[in-house]
Amino acid sequence: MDSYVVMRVGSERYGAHVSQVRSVERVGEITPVPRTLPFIKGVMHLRGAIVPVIDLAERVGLVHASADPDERRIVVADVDEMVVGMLVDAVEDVVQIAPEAVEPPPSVVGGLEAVYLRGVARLGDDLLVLLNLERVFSAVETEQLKQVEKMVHG
Amino acid sequence: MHEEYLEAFLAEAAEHVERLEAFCLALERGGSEPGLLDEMFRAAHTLKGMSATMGFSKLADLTHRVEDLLGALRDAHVRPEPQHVDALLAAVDRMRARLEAIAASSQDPAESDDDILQALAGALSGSEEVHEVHGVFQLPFADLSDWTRRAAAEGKNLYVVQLRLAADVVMPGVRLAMAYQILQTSAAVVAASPPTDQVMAGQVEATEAFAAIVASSGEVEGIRQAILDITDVTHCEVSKVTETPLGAKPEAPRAKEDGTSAQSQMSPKSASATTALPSSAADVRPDATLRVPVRKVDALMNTLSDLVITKTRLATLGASSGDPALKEEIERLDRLVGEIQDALLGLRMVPVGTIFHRYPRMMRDLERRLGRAFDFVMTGLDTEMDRVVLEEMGEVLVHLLRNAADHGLEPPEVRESQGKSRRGTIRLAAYTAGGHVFLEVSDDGRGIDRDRVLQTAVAKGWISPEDTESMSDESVYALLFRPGFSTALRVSDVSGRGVGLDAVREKVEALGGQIRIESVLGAGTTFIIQLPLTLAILPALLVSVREQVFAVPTANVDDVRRLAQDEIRHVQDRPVVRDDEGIVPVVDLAERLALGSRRDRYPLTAVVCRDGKRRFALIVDQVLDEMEIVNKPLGRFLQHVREFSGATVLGDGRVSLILDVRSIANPA
Repeated sequence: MDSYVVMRVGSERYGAHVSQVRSVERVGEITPVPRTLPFIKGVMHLRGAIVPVIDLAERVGLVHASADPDERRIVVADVDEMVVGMLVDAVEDVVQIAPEAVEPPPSVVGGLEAVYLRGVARLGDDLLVLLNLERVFSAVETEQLKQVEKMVHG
Repeated sequence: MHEEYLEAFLAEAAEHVERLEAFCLALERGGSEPGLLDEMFRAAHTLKGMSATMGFSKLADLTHRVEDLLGALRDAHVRPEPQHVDALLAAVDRMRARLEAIAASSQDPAESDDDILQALAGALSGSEEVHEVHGVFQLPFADLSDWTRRAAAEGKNLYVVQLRLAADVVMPGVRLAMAYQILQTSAAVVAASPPTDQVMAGQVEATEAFAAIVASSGEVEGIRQAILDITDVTHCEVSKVTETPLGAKPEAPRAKEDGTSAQSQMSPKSASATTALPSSAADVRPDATLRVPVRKVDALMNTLSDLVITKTRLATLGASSGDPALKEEIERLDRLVGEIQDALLGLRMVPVGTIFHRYPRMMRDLERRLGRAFDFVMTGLDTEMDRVVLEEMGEVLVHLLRNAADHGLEPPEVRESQGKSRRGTIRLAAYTAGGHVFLEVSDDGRGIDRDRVLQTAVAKGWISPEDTESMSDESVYALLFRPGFSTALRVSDVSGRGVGLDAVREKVEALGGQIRIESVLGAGTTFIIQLPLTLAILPALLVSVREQVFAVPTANVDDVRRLAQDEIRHVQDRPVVRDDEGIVPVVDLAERLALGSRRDRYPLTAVVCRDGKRRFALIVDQVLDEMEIVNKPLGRFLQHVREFSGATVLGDGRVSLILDVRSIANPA
């Protein structure tokens, strides 16, 4: 059985493998970083280190549900030596999912292309979308790089 | 065998091998410093013992033969010849290879060392013909302990003075007598070799002398200087004798107030040690060290900065409570945290010597391989800099040193034909000035031929022939750092490995440094690298723009000034101001960072920034403070953001971005 942290973003539920989640934090002060992509919310201070924060909803093109601001969390993921905070509407649970219960993802689900997903799993009546965080982050990194290049070369 | 023992063995053995190598080079350069062979012998002896204990018998045998040669050299008072040094260095290389093999496989390779052993033996037998008695190497005084006690009773110490005269001194007897005169007038001479009466009677022609004197610790340096001031005295070393059978404890570390006598458990080794005052030979003995991964230090640093923030919040609470006792404790906490921070930052700093020590050997080998003749001089080995920066600079320096030997210096015949000394000099200097570390690699070789550089640049189509006249030397030399530039007539196996000066510049600039060249045709070339002292902490100016706080490194700030409306002129529609140094473009930070449009609320607050020679006036809303900030990387995720070089956490826990002045100055 694998453990996944269940995050709610807008109307969707996403799962992140616990081995990739370093901690879940309350939303503190986020310092915006000018001239970066809109879904990069800025950087925050986490136990002495500087951690970039991305808005997962904006990233996947969802609107934040009118969630209780008190429920909002930052899920700090540690993937390939990249530490990134993901702003989510709520962290609901940690669930156990057997590897054989994970199905390959449809081509597009929950606003994300299949390459960003590990798969989908049934969770009661709901479908839990399991994120491939390596892909999500490296894509963000690449996009940011493209943005920089665009600024450099016009 | 336990892994941890092996690791400790490897670390310590590597240090001994390093020392042996450094001593070999010192031996080759300076001939026989008194005590040098003793030091070498001890290093070899220790290594032999360690290796045998660990069961690495091949390594132990090898070291044993080295010890034999060293012992023979020492006891026969034979002046070391090049063949000795060659054999020793070959043995050092083999020891190193064995250690590397042991590190990789935990096994001492079974291959034979016969070649090296023969070379060592050959060097030894060859030396018997050279039986030139050079002088007394060992302390000629058997037992000084009595005198040590007597000196201590007077509140003084016993010192051994070793001095040597130049080999070509004309009147050694007179010079020695002058030295003895100084010793007699400024201290009590207990014993001397050659004996005082013979020297004063002018019956001695020796070029070396030893004397045991009783003096107070404040006097010895003056005595040493006075002796060194005598003509033809090339060397004078004063060592304190701490031989103390009953454990008088002048050198033991002071115990804390509780008085536990840590000294009484001092190892017997320290009992007969002499503490050299000004060490003249290659005393590269490192302090006892602890190897700690940088990431552990960084993790501690992160925890500490969190502590700093907690402390700041506590201070705010303390201030509002009005409790004087609480306030006092918080002040104490403040001081302690500051001390820990300084100490932690110090941990990241290492003396450049830790990297430089491998260069003399490299240069010696290069000298032979390239058929050059030069002295390699290093200065400022104690200069401390950020470990990370220093490690990154290692390769850069190797490149520049090779470049100096291969391209900078002329072959000896050419030098002679040009009326220069046959031997050239290559210098590697480190020093700090104005919050920066400077590393300089210089040679007294052919210098840079401006015309040749320009020809190449024209041929490559970088510049037009008409431009060449008006270019400053500086901009001509800057061409050398362009990718694809090489004026080397041939590609040797030393330089020309595809790593060009462009890679050197890139590395230096990536570390926040700058590199430039000074050169005089026919007289030599100097590469000057300027680097930040540390990457971890920097003084910065905090400025605010539209409620957001940014840090500007003070190293980039020339001035802060107010600008009235009529001070702003326009050149080609771009705003500029004038100051003592000329016309300075005006950059609005809010506009530059897309935080809002320009405000015309005069007077404007301008931070005049400098990036190399470029200057610009950065308009901000407010200048808040100047403080030391801890530079933290933005991480891989945001590393492509050009405008910011990092971030720091302010006292209240907010994150402030550090402006990259270079990138702000050069908008994409």
